Amino acid sequence: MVEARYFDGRSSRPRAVLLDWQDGALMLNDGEETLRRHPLQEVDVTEQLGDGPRLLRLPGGGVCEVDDREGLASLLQAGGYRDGLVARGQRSLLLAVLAIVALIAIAAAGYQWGVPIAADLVAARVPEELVARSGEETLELLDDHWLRPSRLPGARREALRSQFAALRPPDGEAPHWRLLFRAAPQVGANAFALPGGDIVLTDELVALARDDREIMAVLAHELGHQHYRHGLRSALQGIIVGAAVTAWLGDVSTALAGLSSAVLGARYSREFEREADTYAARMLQHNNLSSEWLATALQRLEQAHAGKVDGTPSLLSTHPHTAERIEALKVHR
Amino acid sequence: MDLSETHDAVGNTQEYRLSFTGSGGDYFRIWIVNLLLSICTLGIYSAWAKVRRLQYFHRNTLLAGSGFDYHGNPVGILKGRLLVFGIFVIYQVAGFSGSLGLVYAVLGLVFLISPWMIRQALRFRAWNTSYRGLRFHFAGTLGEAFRAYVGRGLATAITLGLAAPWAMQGQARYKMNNLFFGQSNFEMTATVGDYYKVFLKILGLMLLALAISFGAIFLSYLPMAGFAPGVTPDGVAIGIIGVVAFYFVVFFLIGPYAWSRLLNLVWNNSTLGRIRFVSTVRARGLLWISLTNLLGLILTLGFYWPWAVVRLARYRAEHTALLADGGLDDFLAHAEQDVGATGEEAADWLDLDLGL
Repeated sequence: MVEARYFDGRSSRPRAVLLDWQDGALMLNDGEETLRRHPLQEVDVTEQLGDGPRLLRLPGGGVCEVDDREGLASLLQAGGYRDGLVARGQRSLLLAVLAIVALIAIAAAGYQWGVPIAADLVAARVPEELVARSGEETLELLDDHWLRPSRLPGARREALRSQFAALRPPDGEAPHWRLLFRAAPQVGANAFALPGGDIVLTDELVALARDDREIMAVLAHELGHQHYRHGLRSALQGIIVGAAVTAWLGDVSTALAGLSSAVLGARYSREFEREADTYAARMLQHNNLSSEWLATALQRLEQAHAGKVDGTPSLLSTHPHTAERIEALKVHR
Repeated sequence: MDLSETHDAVGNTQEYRLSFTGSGGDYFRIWIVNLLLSICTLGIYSAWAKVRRLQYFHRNTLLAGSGFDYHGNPVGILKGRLLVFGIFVIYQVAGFSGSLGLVYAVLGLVFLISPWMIRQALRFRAWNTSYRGLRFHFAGTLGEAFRAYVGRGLATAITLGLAAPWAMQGQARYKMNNLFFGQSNFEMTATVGDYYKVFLKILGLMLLALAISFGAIFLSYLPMAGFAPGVTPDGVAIGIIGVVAFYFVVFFLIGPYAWSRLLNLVWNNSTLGRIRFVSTVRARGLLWISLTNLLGLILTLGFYWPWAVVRLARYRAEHTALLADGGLDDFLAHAEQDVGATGEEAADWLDLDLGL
């Protein structure tokens, strides 16, 4: 017999009762008479959660509250009741430790393989118009804030464009691309690939290069981004990583979640840069040009930007170190 | 019954303190097993996990010896989550398409249906909470929700936040005055004036924080403007780090302050029949908990979470009390509850949880 407080479901007044197990049924007795009697399978036996009282919800309303955990457990056992699988699992320390290991393994595998694979799957299904539209919007934003119309003579632009168009891409057909020229006094020498095929080349980069083949190497790198659809894929990876990190840390601190997303996303970005470097090196070789031109261009770009803001810690950096990139290019010589 | 939780009888009035019997270690095991199941089922199990989480916190919150209980149906929670997830996907697609018009259309739609979503969440939460075998319920209408959230929300936006206390008061009153325990109605009597008083204090602290951070930014930019020659860009970096660190402090100081004041304002001005509430949550208590929780979470890469939420729940419970004139034994069930204990008659509106 187990002591309990019984509430009839009509008022909040407790009644002290004794619970017992008799002839396949749970009996509630207040000392004088049997108040309720229910087959155990009709009673909603709740899990023991923490040290709070355990509840037996009775059919048709009413509830019993039991403080005596052990007494109730043995009473229920006598009645043939068994806790559910999850309820038992929640009490096991071993399972908790295994769950921690499994969670860390899932997170690591998801970051290493899951997110890139998922992003690729989605990327393959995103309509091309949508990607192009997003690229156009990005360009508009850049034009409004950072970029000015190019001051290069039309003939010079045309020469660079046709020079690049004459190069054959390494992997069969070239991805769709369009070359745009812009002046970027605040950004400086740079080139970037926008989703949808646009490649933006700054006047400053054209001025910086001592040889047009350096410019071709940079454009080949950007074409690599287009070939692998890096813009779209990194946007999708960012969404997935951001959602996962926010789910994990969002309640704690959005700043912490943002920082973690940035660190995790930056590693993907560095991988994309390496991929694009490799693509460019292969493209140059495919056209009987040395991959050295890319190394030269990278070095020049680094010098041009040196002393400006390059204090970004490597964990947050979206690009690998130039020295490391140049070292990696040696394989292609 | 067990009256050991009763203290300080003043006349006929008895004080009942809430207590919390959960522990981080216990909750950790529940949390981690349910989290793993949620991940392995791609989030579907998370609805069942939510039920278990709320049951853990409800049943371990004790008042006069009795715990609360939670009855939410996981399927209803899952349906609600799918709906919210659908809206989120539409929003993301709108954002990715780059069309600002589409983004605003989605946001506008969410704003317009938000009263329905809020009311649904309040209904689900209230109806699925019980104490001593009696259910709570929420009787707010859609029209009231629309006035409190869309009407007063728009007023807040138009007045650039000046109407915020008015909106908050309306929303708190909507939530409280439509809440029932059995047949008894909660009532909140805090006035708009009370809200403005709290609001002014919060605003004062924010202005002070802003002034100091602007000062810091200004000082870090001085060298660039040429007032102090020979200063490296490191000076700027230090300035930025200083400002960011300062914002963290502001976040931890003003956040707990605002939360504690608003919480106390609502509960100290609320009644349930002949019961009054006493909420003594302090900013410094919350501050200590949030700071140590953050530290724990950083050091454990987030695995401290169960301890963090248990500590907060314990603090809140231990700083809430009821002053009951005539005890807690005389509440009667709502008529609907008599019809069927599970409330299946009204299942159409009860079976969708939009509370996140």
